Amino acid sequence: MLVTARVPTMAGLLETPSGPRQLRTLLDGDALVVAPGAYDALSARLVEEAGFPAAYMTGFGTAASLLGRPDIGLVSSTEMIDHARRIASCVAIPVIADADTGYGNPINVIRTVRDYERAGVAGIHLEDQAMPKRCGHMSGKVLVTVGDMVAKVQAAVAARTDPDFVIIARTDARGVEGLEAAIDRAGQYREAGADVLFVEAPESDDEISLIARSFG
Amino acid sequence: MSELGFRIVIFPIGTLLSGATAVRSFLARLRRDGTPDATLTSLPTIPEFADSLGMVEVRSLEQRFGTSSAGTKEHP
Repeated sequence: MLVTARVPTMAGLLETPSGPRQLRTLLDGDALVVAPGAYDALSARLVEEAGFPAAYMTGFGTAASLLGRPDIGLVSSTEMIDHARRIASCVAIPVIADADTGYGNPINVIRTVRDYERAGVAGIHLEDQAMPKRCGHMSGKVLVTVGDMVAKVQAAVAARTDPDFVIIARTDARGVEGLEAAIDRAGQYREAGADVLFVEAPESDDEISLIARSFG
Repeated sequence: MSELGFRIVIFPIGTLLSGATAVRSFLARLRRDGTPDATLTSLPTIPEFADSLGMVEVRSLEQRFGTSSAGTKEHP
């Protein structure tokens, strides 16, 4: 495919791949982009070695591998960004990174976006949970208001320096406010400028279809 | 997923869970047998694994930049 044809295996020590452009090219292509999770640099290399066009830095896996703890918001932004830098540095494929809640309000989001961008990832996802966040598939999640999240997405879009850097807006509303609210939130995040929408934890195939139809 | 209109799919923790399961399995055998011998046939050698991490490139960079380890024994 597009990326793997040019760079058949891992990133050389002297390479400086352009993650955001590569990811945009993949997203603009015809093939479904499959991005397995990388929980550390080694697993990112294995994802690349296996031939996948992109890797996904998982927050769940980061909490597990860095701290040996569950994904309940214990990993700091600094630790996440350091982790992202090491992962993005050792592969030539684009890396999408979990950026949790953006680690605060829209002002924090500005710094978060800048630092992830400098870390060399192709894009990040921000979610509408209140801090401390928890894994999207756990119970007990608390959301911020739609307005607060819209402001964060707008801040993220304004903060990126490379227009190709991909901002993914995730909503965790399905398990808290229901599917209809989740789809409504995602729509508002799209209007706020999100490039990709991520409706977390739908509960059936029908829900997945409905989400797809809502933004088709 | 593609037919539904999705552009990207992530599999966040499949690598983590399968990696942890493989490590558990290795550790259980080591604990039981007191030696890793039974597991070794299915594992890469140290040089093979180092090569998969880019040791081939490192050796060529050592040649190119004439570092002191260039030309020495290749074991990591």
